[in-house]
Amino acid sequence: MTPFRFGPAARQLYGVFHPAAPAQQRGVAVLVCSPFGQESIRFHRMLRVLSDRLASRGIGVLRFDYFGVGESAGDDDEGDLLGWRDDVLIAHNELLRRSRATRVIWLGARLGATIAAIASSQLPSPADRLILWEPVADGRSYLRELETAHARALADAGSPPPASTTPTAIVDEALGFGVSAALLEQLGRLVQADLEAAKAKQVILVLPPHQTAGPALAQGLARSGLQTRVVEFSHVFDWSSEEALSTALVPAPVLEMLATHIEAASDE
Amino acid sequence: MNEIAVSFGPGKHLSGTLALPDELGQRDVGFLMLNAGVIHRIGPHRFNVKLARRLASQGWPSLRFDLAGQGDSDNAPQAQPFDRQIVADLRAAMDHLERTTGLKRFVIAGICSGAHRGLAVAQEDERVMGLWMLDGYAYPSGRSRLQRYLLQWRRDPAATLRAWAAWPLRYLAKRLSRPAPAADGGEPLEIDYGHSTPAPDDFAAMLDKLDRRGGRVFLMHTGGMLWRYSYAQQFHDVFGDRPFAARVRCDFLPDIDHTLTTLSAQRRVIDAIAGWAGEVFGPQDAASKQKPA
Repeated sequence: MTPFRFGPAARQLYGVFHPAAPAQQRGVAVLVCSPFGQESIRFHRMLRVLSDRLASRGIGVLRFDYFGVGESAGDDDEGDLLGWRDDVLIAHNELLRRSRATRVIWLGARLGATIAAIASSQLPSPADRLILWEPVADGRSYLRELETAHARALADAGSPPPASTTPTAIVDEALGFGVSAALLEQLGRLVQADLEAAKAKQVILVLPPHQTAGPALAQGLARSGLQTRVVEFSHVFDWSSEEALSTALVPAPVLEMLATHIEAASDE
Repeated sequence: MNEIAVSFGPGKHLSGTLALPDELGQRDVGFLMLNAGVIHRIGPHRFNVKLARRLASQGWPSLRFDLAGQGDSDNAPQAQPFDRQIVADLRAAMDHLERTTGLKRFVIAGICSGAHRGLAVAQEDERVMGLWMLDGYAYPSGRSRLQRYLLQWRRDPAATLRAWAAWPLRYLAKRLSRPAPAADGGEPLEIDYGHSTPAPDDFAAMLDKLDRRGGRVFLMHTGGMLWRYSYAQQFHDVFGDRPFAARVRCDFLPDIDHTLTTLSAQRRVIDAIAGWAGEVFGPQDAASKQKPA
């Protein structure tokens, strides 16, 4: 595992490369596109464990922080979807250079899946595989989710006076992270069609059962000529809970699900 | 300000980020930040990153890092028992910051369990000259006990009455029952997750040891600790007769939560830390300037 910084001097990104075990090399690597804000913190340990496992089985992994996120340069309120889209493309090239893989699988979760889909549309040739776990296909709904989670987090925080659980519109922060005006505006305009522009040889769409928007997204991707497979995954990952509470950091069903799909894709 | 991803420690198993000011040598202490609970080194809501950048803008270098087996750090090549490993990791972080900046005095900024780790290593390594502890240990006074009962009463009078009525029964049950003996016949097993709170005298002795070598302590208690720390003077009511007490800063922030969930809370706490550091560690005088390695 190698932590490092990469990208343009004015936009240094933090990444961690997990090289494939030499004896197990499959010529395949995975680029991870993390979720946003608190969901990213919540997902960090999961990704670390997953990356170690994949690397030990011959699949190199690069996980990284977008600009203004985590360990990367930039303040919270300097992040936006278009900048993060370009960060994914820079990370993709960095992964190719470090791994020397001939095929690259992109794994995205939540808003990271959305960013991955949008970024793939900029690739000169289609991504080998996009695995999109619960992508955000409706920016306004996502903002409402953030508003609700933010209000709940403040109410649960325990400090008096008790905060209201009634969500209010996000202005410049969500769940402890600054949010730029550009990001708010871009999320407000984000629709399913943005994801349908994805460019990939195959898309695996991992969705919770009975998600109302799921079939429409799958149909939309298929209509756009993308070979799409829907995987129903019933485990509820606690995306935005406060990290200090005692919920499982690395639920075995999630680890198995992600590792299984990535390893199956790498064997094809 | 310059941020550098670093690997250090035996076998380079620890992963961290150096935040260096544009000009080294303005200050003669460096800061260390570590995990809070299970959160990786960026801290809750990226607090450690924001703090490190603010400190660097005022001339203080820092190293934020993940303890062995957490965040982006690997397990230690020759792992020690949990508490010993944490001390070893923090000392390795000081070694690294010393090698890269020439500094020999350090402040450990810790949140919750991170605050406990800082206090533990300060007992063993004289390079620790300062501690900032957010929601670390708290000790009740007579007034805080009363306030706890009142708080409980105001929140849910019926449940409080029921709980108070059950006290004699609980006391009796506790007297009659004993924890199960260990399978090997040794000490009874009790679950404390390895982090029992030191007795007040032990805590005082630890602060005293740091104080005697000129170290400084900044305690901060948020509303998340209200059940255990409920008014501004509580620390001084409990420890006010100790020689070190006058030099310990203790802030009570009841309107801020344990993980600093709002940006305004983060800014307020960062302002307080930067202000405290400036007061107690000040600018470096020319005579004690360290040359970077």
